[in-house]
Amino acid sequence: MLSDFAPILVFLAVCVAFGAGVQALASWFGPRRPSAAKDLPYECGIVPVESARRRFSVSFYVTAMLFIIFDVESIFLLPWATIVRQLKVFGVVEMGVFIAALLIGLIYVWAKGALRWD
Amino acid sequence: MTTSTVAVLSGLILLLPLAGALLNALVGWRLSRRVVNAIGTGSILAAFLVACVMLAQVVGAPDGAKSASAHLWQWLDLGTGGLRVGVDVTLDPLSAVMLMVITGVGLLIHVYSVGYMEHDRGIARFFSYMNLFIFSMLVLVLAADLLILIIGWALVALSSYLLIGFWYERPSAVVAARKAFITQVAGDVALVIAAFLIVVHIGTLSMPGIFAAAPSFASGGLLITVVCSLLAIGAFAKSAQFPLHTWLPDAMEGPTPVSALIHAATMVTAGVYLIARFHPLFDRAPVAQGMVACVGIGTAVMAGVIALSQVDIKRVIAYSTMSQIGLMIFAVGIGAYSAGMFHLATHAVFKALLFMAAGNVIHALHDEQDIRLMGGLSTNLRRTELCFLSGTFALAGIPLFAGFFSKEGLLGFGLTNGPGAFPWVLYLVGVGINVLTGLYAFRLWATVFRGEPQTARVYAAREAPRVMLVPVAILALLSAFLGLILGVWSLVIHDNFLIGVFARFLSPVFTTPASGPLAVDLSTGTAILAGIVGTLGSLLGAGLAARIWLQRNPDPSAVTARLPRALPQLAYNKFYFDEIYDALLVRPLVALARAARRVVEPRFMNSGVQTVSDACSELGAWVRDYQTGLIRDYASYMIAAAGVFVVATLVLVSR
Amino acid sequence: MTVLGVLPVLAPPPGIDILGLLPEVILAGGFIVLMMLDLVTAPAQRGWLAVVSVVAVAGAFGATVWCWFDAATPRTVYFGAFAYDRFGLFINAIILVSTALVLMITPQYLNRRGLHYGEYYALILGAATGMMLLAGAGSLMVIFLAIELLSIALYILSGFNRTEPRSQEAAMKYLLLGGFASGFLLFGMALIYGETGHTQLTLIAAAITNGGGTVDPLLMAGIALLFVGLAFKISAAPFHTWTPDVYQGAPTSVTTFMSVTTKVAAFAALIRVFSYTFGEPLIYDRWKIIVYFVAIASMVVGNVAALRQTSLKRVLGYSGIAQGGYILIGVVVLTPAATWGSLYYLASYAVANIGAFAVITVMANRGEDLDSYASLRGLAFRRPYVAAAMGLFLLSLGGFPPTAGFFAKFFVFAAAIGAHELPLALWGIGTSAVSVFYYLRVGLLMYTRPQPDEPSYNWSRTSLSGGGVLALTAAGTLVMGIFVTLVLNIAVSAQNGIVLHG
Repeated sequence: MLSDFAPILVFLAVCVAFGAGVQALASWFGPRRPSAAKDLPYECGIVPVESARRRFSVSFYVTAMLFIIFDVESIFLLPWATIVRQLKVFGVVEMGVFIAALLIGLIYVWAKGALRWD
Repeated sequence: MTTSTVAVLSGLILLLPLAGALLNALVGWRLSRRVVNAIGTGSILAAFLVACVMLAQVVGAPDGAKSASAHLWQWLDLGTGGLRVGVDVTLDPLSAVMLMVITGVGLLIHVYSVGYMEHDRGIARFFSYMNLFIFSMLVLVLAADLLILIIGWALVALSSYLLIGFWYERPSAVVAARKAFITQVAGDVALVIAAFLIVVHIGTLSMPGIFAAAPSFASGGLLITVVCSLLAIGAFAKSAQFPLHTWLPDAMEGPTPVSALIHAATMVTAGVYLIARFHPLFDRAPVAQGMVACVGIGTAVMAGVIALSQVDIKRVIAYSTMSQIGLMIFAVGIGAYSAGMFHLATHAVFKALLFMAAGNVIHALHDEQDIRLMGGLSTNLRRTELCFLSGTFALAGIPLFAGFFSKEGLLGFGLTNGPGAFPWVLYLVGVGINVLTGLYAFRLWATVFRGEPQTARVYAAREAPRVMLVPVAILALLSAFLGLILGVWSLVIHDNFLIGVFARFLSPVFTTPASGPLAVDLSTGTAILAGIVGTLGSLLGAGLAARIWLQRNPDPSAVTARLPRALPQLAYNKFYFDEIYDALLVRPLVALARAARRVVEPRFMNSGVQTVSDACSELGAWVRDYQTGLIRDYASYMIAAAGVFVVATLVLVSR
Repeated sequence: MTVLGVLPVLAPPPGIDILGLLPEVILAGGFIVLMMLDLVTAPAQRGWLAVVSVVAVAGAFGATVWCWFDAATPRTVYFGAFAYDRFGLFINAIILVSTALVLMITPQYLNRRGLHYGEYYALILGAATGMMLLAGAGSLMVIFLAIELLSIALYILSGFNRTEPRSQEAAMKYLLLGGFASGFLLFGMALIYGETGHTQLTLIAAAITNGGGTVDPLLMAGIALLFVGLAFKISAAPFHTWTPDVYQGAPTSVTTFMSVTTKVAAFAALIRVFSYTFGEPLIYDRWKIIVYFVAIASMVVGNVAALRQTSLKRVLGYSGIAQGGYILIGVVVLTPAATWGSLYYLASYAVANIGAFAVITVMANRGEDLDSYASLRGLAFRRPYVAAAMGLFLLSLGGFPPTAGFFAKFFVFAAAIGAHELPLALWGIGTSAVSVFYYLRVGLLMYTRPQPDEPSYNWSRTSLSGGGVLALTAAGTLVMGIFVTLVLNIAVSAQNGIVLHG
């Protein structure tokens, strides 16, 4: 059984070797000319205006989490679609229950004001 | 008498006092005194009625079916081969007699307490303890499993401790309670070791199982002798027999109803019950039986002599109790179980009576207990005196009173069944005890009620209220006529003339397949002879007492003063048992403890016990130091431990 | 046979048995209903949500009882993902009773703290659903999902007191460390799956048995990591460090809930996975040493650390760690007696621990909990019944007869001795002797008269439901100590009924 994992081990080794190798090569062969402009954070070529360690609105997280929940829902629908014929009516009802539960969740977060931005 | 009837009735009789105890303990402090009294006595009244039904069940059952056990619930079951303890009860003539004594006398004493404790603020606590005691006692006598019996046995000791120390503001009461409890625990330990030996040998603690397996003990063998001796030591501790007797007189620190209920009528006789109950074992251990008989009669003599020398009214009665229980222990030691049980029953009646009558006296004299300061109380306490006299006659064994039938019946067996080569020796000692009993019984009555009042307080004494008189009067009637009724009844059915009815009633218990019919059955001639000699002894004692103390200014120490000086001194100081124990046990232990504190403790304890304690504490502090509250620390512990575990499973145990 | 079978078109395909999950379905339904009700209930009226949730719990309990009789022959449902057996149902019953008791003391506590948030009840039911799923989990995936369901609900509940920094800190600690532990758990599961090719417990067991007498190192590593993940949930040393901090910071009603139910549910999974799936001697010999060590470490660390605490909640937290160590004895020892001993222990622990925490909750006033030792002093003179009940719980936790705790310890230690693991029993007995010290110290404090000049703690009045919870738990502690076989027989039958084959 353990031998089944050999490819993974090889893959791991290659990854580590590649990452470390590239770093090593760069530090050996690359020229080293530090300057103030080079130490700036890279923001798509634009000069940064303030510290990156500022606080974000919590709404970002809420929206992201809600997105993931409904994203997972749609992922869940895909495998179900492949066997829905075997499950017959029962499968349709089951998925209905599942979506209804999520719908209730949506109503809940809506009513709680989680979708409001300000 | 079906199993379910027994289960229901025993459940009821156990629950009623328990409910009373809990009710008074939990909500008693916010109830009125009247309600508390009603709960306390009502629960016992109900239990008494149930006990009557149970007695009727036993009487009504056909011969050969007088005993029934019921399984209330399985307490512990460790599977096949493991220990099984069932909460089982047995109703048979023996337990029925005990039930009647406990609830009947108990009921009267509870009623009496309503009057006696009238001015006490802790009435709810008092009744709660009293009901708890009745419950514990019922557990003890109904138990059909040795472990359950031991639980009852220990609960009885606990409630006795609580009641002796009821007035916990008095240092003497606290000390007495502690002394009683420690002595009881010594007996408990013996009992537990006996139970352990039994379970190792037989594999069960169920009492029917033990009795059925009794033949598996070699008769007279070492094991059975040890087991029975241990059981006997347990009984001695509970019944205040030599050498574990010193707690009983001190226990008189408790309220008088407590002395009447626990230290006269019921608890102290539990030892007699225990030996009678375990007779299938004792019958196979003649050495232990002989030891029991000798200890019983010895205690009876010793306590009788001490009783003659004491001047505290309750202590006199306490020593007389010790002496009478000595006789019962003697009886069960010579195999005269029903005779011993009969004396137990009559003694419960007349001794509770004496205590309660004494309580009336103490109450009337505002807590005066010294008989030298009494005398002449018969004018003011006429009714109490009549009752007291009934008890005195019964105690002294004056013919036709209850004590006469039971005591003479008991001693008669001593003539033929005593241990050793000269069985009648102990009988002769018994006759001597009769003389002693007559002496101290009438001495007490004469010095308390007759002669001239010795203090002014006597003139102001008032007769007790009705609630305290009626229970005493009922007991007085019983102590006067109980024996007579049973005696006549015995004559009618043409039986052994003294205790035939009673013995016949109990015979199913004491005739088991294991032990066979008891050899204890006197011929009528022997019985009459023994009875006449014994009675003459009692009458002699009573007559002497009347001559010595029936005068205007009786001297309580009249008899002892005439003896060589050493003896009265010895008796008055209770043969110095307390001092001897103090010198032999307490002082060496204290000295040892001191030495230990001075030598052993600094040198070994600090590096031993103290170190363990300190180490635990230090370890605790150390663990707390790691409880930094920082998540990164916690997470690193987890990583470290997980790493160690993985390595351990992979490397250390790869075999 | 299912109710839905009446409608032919709706008949579920073979392998799906909704009745097997009936208690969990009812509770999950209650969870959803409560969420909706929360939207339409005014804050002051939200105490009623507690009533609704108790009704849901009662319904689930009824279903559990029905299933108990139905599950006379154990089986797995949902293609082996879920075990429908008396073992799981016994745990369900403990969880549901504990949940109901917690719900009864909750509204009063939330009112005193001004926490009128309706999510509380929904979250409690959600966590309880997760715990019940965990108790019946028959597959590694369900174990993980159930643990996440209960954990996420508990993370939120720990931080429920939004204005209290300690509560926030507790929630954050629990969340981060819990996530960390989940990582171990998942990694372990992945390794086990990789080695055996199955996630279903019965198939894993079969794969190990058919493994031909060799043990793969990665399987052992997986088992060790899986144990780490579960040991975190039962707060066994050295994965216990979060316990005192979270127990102290979380609202006490939440602590009451999670100190009992999480442990009970995680122990169910632990016993099912370790005693029954990995019971193969070859494997057992290798993981035994870890569990052995963790059991002793928990007993020592829990009891010893409790000696130096001055906060009642922390003392009970450490005591819970130690109690977990005793129950772990029942996992190390593989005999049936050890399993039913642990089940009895879980039941007795649940009753006594809920009672003890309920005392803290019920006595809490507007400002603070009954937490400091100073607040305990003299409790017996002002609240005699509460103090008596607390004394009873402490006696039970300390293992004194005639309480439930005595027999719980007795059964577990007896099982250890019966399996020739005497040292384990001796460790247990020795450390329980240490535990008596801190249990009795709390008891003594309650019965010590406060100094006249000492400011006395302002104990709350006991409400009807709060007093009811204390009375019920006190009665349960006594009943389980006096009518031992009552619960013992059920525990034995639960042990007998565990699913062994798919």
